[in-house]
This record gives sequence, C-alpha cells and structure tokens, in this order.
Amino acid sequence: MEQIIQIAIYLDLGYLILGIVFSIFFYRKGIEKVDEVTIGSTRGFKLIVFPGVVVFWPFLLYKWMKT
Amino acid sequence: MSLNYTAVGWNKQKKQYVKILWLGILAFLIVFAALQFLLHPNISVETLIIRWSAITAFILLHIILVIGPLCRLNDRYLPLLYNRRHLGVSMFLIAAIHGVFGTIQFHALGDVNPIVSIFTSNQNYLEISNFPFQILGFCALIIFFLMAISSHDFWLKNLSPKFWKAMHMLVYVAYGLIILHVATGALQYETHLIYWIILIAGFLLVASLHIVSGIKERGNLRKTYQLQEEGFYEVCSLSDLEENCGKSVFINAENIAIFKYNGKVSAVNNICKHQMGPIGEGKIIDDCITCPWHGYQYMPENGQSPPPFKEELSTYNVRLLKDKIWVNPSPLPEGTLVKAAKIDI
Ligand code: HEM
Ligand code: FES
Repeated sequence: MEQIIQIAIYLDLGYLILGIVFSIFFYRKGIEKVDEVTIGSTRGFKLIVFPGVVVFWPFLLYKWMKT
Repeated sequence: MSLNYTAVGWNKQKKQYVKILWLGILAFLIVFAALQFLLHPNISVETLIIRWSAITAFILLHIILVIGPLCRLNDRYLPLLYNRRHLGVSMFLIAAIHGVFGTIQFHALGDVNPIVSIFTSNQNYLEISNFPFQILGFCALIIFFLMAISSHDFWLKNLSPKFWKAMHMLVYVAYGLIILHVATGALQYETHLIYWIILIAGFLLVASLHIVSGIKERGNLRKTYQLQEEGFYEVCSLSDLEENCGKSVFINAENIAIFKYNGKVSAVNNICKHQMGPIGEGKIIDDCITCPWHGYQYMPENGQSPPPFKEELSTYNVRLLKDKIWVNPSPLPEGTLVKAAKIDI
C-alpha cells in the first residue's frame, strides 16, 4: 500500500515537472497560438493561469498541435 | 468578451464584494479565536488555525452552494452570484490552510512522507468511529484546487465549456466528501448533539434549495403554449414584460429570452456565451441585452456582441397580434438579423 502511494506521488510529481517545462515553451509561443485573446494580456494574467498551465498542460499541448 | 485578458477584471462591485468577504473572514477569525481561548485556554495556535480554517471553509462552501438555487428562485440574490468565483477561490485558500496545518500537525512528525502518511497511517476503512477521514478531506481539497486554478475565463474557453462545467460540477462530490470528513472525523470525538444538528441542517438546506429550484425550473419547462399556424406560439402579453427587461420562455425545449425595448420586441437564445448565464433575466443597457451574470452584451435584433467582440446568439422570429407576443421557436443561425416586432401604439 505504502509503496503504491509513494509511486503515485512520484508519477504526479513527474507529471507536474513536465508541466513546468511545458510552460516555458507555452508562454514563449504557444499561448498566443492557442488563444489569440492572450496577445497583449497582462503579466498578472500569465501569473494567475500558471498553476493551470502546469496541471492542464496536455490539453493546451493538444490545442497547440492542432493550430 | 474582453480584448485581452487581465488577472482579475476588477470593477467597483467586485472590489466591494471581495472587501466585504475578507472583512467577514477576518472578523470571524477574531471572534472565533477569542471564544476558543476562553473555552480552551490551553489550545495551541496550530489547533486554533486548523479549526478556524475548517469552519470558515465549511461555511463558505455552504454559501457557495446555496447561491445558485437562491438566484433561480429570486432575482434579489443575483448580486451574490456575480463573482461567485472569488468566493470559491477564497474558500479554497482557507481550506488549503486547514489541509496544510492538519497534515503538518498529524503527519509531518514521522519519517514517512506526509502525503503517504495521510493514506497509510490509518487503514481502518471498516470502522466508522476510527475511519481515515483525512483521506476524504484530501480528495475534496484536490477538487477545490482544480476548480480554483481553472476559475479564470481563459480556462472556461480553452478547456472547452463542456469539460469546464463538468469539472466544476465536482463541487457536489467534494461537498459529499466534506460532510463525511466531518461526520467520521471531528464528530466522532466532539459528540455533542449540536454539531450533528448543524451538519445535518446545513445539508438539508443545500439539498432542499436545489430540489425546490429544480421543481420550479421544471415547471417552467413543462408550461405548454398554444400553437398557432406557421410554427408561432403565443407566449405572453406585452404587459407581462417591463420596458428594457426580458423574460425567459421554454418552447419545444428551446430556451428563449424575449425583450421589450424602444417600442419593439425581439427574441434571442437564453444561454449566455460566457458561462451560460440566463440572458432573459438581464436588462437592455446602452441598446444591448446585457447578461445579468457578468455583463456580456448582445444586440437584440441580431444576437451579436457589439464590435469588436465576436460572441453570437441564435435569434428567433417574433410577431405581435394585438397585445400578445408570439414566438417561433425554431432557432435561426447564430447572429442572424431578425427585424424586431414593432409595438403599435
Ligand atoms: C489534506 C486535506 C485535509 C486534512 C489532512 C484534514 C484534516 C483534518 C483534521 C485532522 C481534522 C480534525 C481537527 C480537530 O478536530 O482538531 C479536520 C476537521 C475538519 N475538517 Fe479537515 N482536513 C482536510 C481537508 C478539509 C477540507 C478541504 C475541508 C473543507 C471545508 C475540511 C473541513 C473540515 C471541517 C469542517 C472539520 C471539523 C472542524 C472542527 O474541528 O471542529 N477539511 N480536518
Ligand atoms: S454568463 Fe457571464 S456574462 Fe453571461
């Protein structure tokens, strides 16, 4: 039991780290392709959606790939 | 509806809303702390924080859950709905304080990873009085976290409204988990009857308001309108509508908003493109239908948002026969121009 949970936590952690790596590229290029309304948006906006980018990154990657 | 995104689209009402909310939260902290020190002079600060944040988040969660049905029952409560998301994010932050302190207090002292410890330190799944209730709180907190981080409009659009809505409906799952978290946790040693009464009364309030508002909505859906030739249905009299105000009608499962303004009557789809707000409960402001929830605007004759915005609603043909309003419930493509029905004086 303990081991399964430990593994699950490491998997989640890995997923979130991938999300952080993804966010670097996403903020440089992807975000404006995925949603043109973000062009010219404020830093506060980019900060406030950051946790979401790290968690929901596969959605954004999929949308980015489709553009 | 915005040209570009900002962190929070602040305006006067929102600032006031958040100010009142946090003043209330702080006032409750002071009263609660004073009472706890009076009743339990030996209480530790950690325990105080765990209890204060638990009860504050619990109360906020109830407020959040009753706002929806209250607004469906009476327009008076709409100002509460306006920016319910600030309530939600505040509730998550306070619940997170509770979760973090609870985890530190009970799970961070051993050599096991605290999160692993939440799941493994107690495995009495079959015993109610010793149930691992913290797992339930943990799962609820994850749901609140997902809702809080996706509360910006950017997520509504980019996760797709359907997925977003489904994810935010999980709040009901989280509510169930919290009820069980309290019932199998704190209420197993705080056995005074009053705690059970509060817990059950809160649940009954939330449940009954949902049922009553659901019945009311079903009643509206069921209402049958008399058919006229050519697909038009008589929906109401002109005098049932106030100037510059709307009315929601359901015909053949179509959800339609009709508006009376400037000697004319128009009909558009009743579901706002922003977050599915009830357009028909809005008003005409600056010649535009204005959604009561967050103020998205649409022109009444073509359902289009005024440029440069791009949202479009379906429109419907409307006729006036004497003082009766007739609507054809077949929706026209979104943004189609339909000449408003003119009121003869
Ligand atoms: C990681 C997540 C969580 C952990 C580890 C946790 C842990 C605890 C613990 C140890 C208690 C007993 C405290 C005491 O009686 O001194 C408690 C009570 C309680 N918790 Fe949680 N909890 C979590 C999440 C939540 C969430 C998300 C809520 C949401 C509202 C919540 C609401 C409550 C309430 C209302 C009580 C009873 C308050 C009282 O002590 O009188 N918990 N929790
Ligand atoms: S639902 Fe937000 S403006 Fe209509």
